[in-house]
Amino acid sequence: MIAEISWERTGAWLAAISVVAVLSLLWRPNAAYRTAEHALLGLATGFLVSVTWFEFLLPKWWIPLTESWREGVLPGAIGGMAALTLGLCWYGVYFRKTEWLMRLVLGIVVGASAGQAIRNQFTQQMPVLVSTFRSPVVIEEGQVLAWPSITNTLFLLAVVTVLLYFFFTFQQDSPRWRMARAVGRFWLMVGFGAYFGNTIMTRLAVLIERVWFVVDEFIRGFFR
Amino acid sequence: MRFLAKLGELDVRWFYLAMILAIVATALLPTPMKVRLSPESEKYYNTIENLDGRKPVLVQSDWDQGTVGELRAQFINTVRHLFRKNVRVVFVSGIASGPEFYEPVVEQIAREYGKEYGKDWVSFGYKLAEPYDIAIEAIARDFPATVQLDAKGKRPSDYPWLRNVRTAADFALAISIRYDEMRAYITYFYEAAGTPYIAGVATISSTPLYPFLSTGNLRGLLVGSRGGGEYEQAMGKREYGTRFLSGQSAGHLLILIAILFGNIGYWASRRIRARGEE
Repeated sequence: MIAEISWERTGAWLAAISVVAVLSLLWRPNAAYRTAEHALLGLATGFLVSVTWFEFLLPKWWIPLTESWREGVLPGAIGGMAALTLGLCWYGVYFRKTEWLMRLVLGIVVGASAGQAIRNQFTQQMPVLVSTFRSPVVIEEGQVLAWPSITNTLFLLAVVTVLLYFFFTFQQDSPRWRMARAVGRFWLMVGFGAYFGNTIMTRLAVLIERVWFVVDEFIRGFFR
Repeated sequence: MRFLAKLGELDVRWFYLAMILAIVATALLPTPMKVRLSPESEKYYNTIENLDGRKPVLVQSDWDQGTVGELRAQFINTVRHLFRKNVRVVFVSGIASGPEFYEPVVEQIAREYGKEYGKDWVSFGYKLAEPYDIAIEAIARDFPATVQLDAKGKRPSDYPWLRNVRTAADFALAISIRYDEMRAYITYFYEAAGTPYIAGVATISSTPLYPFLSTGNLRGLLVGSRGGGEYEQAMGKREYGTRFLSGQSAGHLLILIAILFGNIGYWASRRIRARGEE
């Protein structure tokens, strides 16, 4: 049975047609793909402008500022005006004479980010760094645990050889150094392989979801 | 030999066609796949399982159209698990389109478990804007001032169970389900207030997170559609997450076949060239 036409269904079909238009690039570049691409860019830009105003500037800046102004709350009004002034300083970059204004706010942002990054180094990275110092022999209740000992030894080997691979302070070309670097390169390749495999998995997941959407909305939905 | 050499010269569009047909087939066929919890998913599951329900849980839901395939099943089953444990949940988002995606899903699961808005869960919507570190620090220091109003226009103090929730220490757990992790929760929730943090991420973002898991800074991790499928089956369900695993497996199998074809073709063409030179 053919489905009844509704606004919701029309929107879903339009979305499904857009997906097919975008995927048509796999065949060759064409007008349908370019139309969908431009529509997406236009919609995304419009959406961003709307979100910036309605989700941020309006509730977090305009309403508190105007309310403070009306009620005569001086700190609120001054805060709102200060935020506007600092925000406008970003546009100083467009004129040579006012470029320094942009550097002023950029300095504040970089300073705040650097402060947070230093704290994050201690709370996030240090525990990870400490955990790399593992004993190659794991003993529990007087017994040497074989498997954890093997994995820890391999882990230590990987850490040391990868560090040697990136050791550029002075030139070392002896066969032992070359071998250590080759082992380090092997572990790096293992790491990059894991990254690449996971990248493929995510990209494939996006494709699967979109193809299923077309099947569900466009093909099954049409006869619902 | 010439036939084998042609395998390496196949028009790549045949591969695209085969991939799309394989994915369409998995959409139409039933899914027999059965998976068990991986160690990282098990940690995630156990962290929620061990909650006592005295404090609420903060869930940051940032999945939308771009990540729905990988993160939807993770989110659905996380909410299911929290509601099954009778834990109160506070939802927030770090993307503008987040609430549009998570709110209908939560409403549906809430009906399934007989949970009410305002009594068992609340949604504050898009309240964590970039830069995220500052937004999460703000929510950790002063939750009511940061979220201000919920989806119904009410303040946190309007709900009796949220009246005493002011800082990160007043939450039992922080969860983020988004493309990548939110390391700021480690700094401002776990390190500063002792509130544990677990994350559901897209597969692409998972590789650098395993060291955080082994140090305990991250208590549990769901990785992409695999994590979603595993968690779904641990919850005793076989729905979207399980179905998705068959699509993913079909795609991976096809990629492996393509790699095999490409290598055979390359080997055969080298053999032909070598013979010609002789």
